[in-house]
Amino acid sequence: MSTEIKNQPIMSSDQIIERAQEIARKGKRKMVAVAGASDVDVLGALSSANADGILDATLFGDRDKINKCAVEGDIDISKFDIVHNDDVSKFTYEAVKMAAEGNADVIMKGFVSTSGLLKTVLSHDFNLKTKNLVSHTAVLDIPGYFKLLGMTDGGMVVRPDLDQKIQIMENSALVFRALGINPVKVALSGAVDFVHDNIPQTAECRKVIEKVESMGFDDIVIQGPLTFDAATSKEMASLKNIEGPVAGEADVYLVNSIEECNIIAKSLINFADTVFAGVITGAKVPVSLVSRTDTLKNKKASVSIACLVAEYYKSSGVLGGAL
Amino acid sequence: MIKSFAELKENTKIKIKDKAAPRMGMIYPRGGKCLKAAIQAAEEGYVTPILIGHKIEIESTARAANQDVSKYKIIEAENLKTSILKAIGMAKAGEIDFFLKGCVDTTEMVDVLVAKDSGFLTKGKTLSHIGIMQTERYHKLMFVTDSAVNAVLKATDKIGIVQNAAALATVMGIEQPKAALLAAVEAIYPAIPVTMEEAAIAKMSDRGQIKGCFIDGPLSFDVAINTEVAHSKGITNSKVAGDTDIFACPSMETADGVYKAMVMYAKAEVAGIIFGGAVPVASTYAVDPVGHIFNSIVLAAYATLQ
Repeated sequence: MSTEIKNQPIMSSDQIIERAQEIARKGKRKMVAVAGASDVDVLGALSSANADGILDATLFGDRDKINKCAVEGDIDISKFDIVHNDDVSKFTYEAVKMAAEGNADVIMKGFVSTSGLLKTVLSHDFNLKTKNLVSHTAVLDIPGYFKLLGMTDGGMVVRPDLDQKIQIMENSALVFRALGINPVKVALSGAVDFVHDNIPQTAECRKVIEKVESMGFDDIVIQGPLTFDAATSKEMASLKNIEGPVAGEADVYLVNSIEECNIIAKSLINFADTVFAGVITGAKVPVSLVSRTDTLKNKKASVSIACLVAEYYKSSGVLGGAL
Repeated sequence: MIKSFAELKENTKIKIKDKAAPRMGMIYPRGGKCLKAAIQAAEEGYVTPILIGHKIEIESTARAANQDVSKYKIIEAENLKTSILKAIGMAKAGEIDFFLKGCVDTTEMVDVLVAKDSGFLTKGKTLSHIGIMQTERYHKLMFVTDSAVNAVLKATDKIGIVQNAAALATVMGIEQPKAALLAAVEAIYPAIPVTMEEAAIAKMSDRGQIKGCFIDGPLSFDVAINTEVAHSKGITNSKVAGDTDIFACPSMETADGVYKAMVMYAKAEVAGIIFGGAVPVASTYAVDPVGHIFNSIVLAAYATLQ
């Protein structure tokens, strides 16, 4: 059996999970360091992903509380090591350190604050910071769209300025490279499909595109402003006479605010059977987080995509933010 | 209380019974879909259409769409702008009751409507678009706003778009409609300006400064639609969470994205209307099928019958 992992484009949430399993089967099973593992949802996701042969995990936190959560959720954590510490800043530090020293591939947020965890990840004690900020990508599997759609940023950056938008774009492009997508087609969100004087967001699109083009990224194609329909439907794009390399087939929908991303994604998740996987990129190690309201499949897809990003970093030598 | 488009149609029929059907000025009837919906609505007795546009173009559009417009009055207007201005003049003279946007670009129409000298705006009132959506997944109609008019939202505009949606919901028999000011989170953070502004508006509502609806915010989308999620996030005494009628989005891009997502991927049944001006404007998007344009016509007609 070959240990080569074919990097064919991944088109669905099922394929995300299957690819993560395939990577593990070929001896490249990823280690997840969990900061604050006393969290029923996190333990449930990890235990289930472990049973599916996706990953291993090391649990950092208060041993008693972790065990209590496992009992409460009827979760088998016998396959995982626990590194006991009851001080939140200490066990967060230890979890990040494990990844920084190369002994873990993914950092996962447990029962700790996202901002506290990321502060530790980006601290000078560890060499995990890149030139980019860290941002969140929601990878959506929308029934009716023929490929996966990344939306960013609905979790970290409130209102990105021009430079931040480009960094967020790079971070999401990395996720899609890890999914085997090349080139990555980026649509800049707009309420209309052309630059309009009375709509400031559309004028900014032009600046973003100019800057991206001047930076000479390989394998990123960008277009905008594009409405959600023109970005994700060739039929709609052609009906509206919109041409261009991204229209109707966007991989990444880069939006203007945390609210825009979060609200549109949730309308799809709640009303259009959309499965989503989320990951934070921009540091040298991917950071995984799941939410209480996620379904088990969402959670599994989320930890799987973090494993795919970690594998991509390892195999390509490209580390987050260094596109 | 109207809970579905079927009920809307029924109620509109009942209201029209002993009166003349509302007169609909169709702005620049370009596009077969819009013409089809207008003629269908006329044939079913919901409206009397008056087509305002380029006669030769209207006739060729009708031929291409296999529609007969010979029965309807055509007011000559050489381009979109003059078509809108003529429609506004007719509305002010009491000659038409509402508009239907033909299949033309929404922004182009809105630009003319909101121009200071258009005469369409009502002093002190916000003009805004409302998408009314029906899906099996939600227990009531959703009023999503504003995807078309207000590109830059100040607090006054946000209050205005909620009041417009509330006025429309009230017309449809929904007493004290519930408005969620949507955000990415339901906690209020000084670092996230949208949450601060929404919280302030919600407080104004609590103190009775904004009447005619309940307003809560910031609320995330899942908290707005789901009581269990609301409770799990500590939102336990909201009059809105889990039972939202009005989904007030913090930006035009957001409302537009939700509208398109609901039509394309959630397969929601939809009507679109621009509210708050001299007369209502039935206004949908390219993504909408004939049925949605038809719903919009009936909704606008219904609104003028109050």
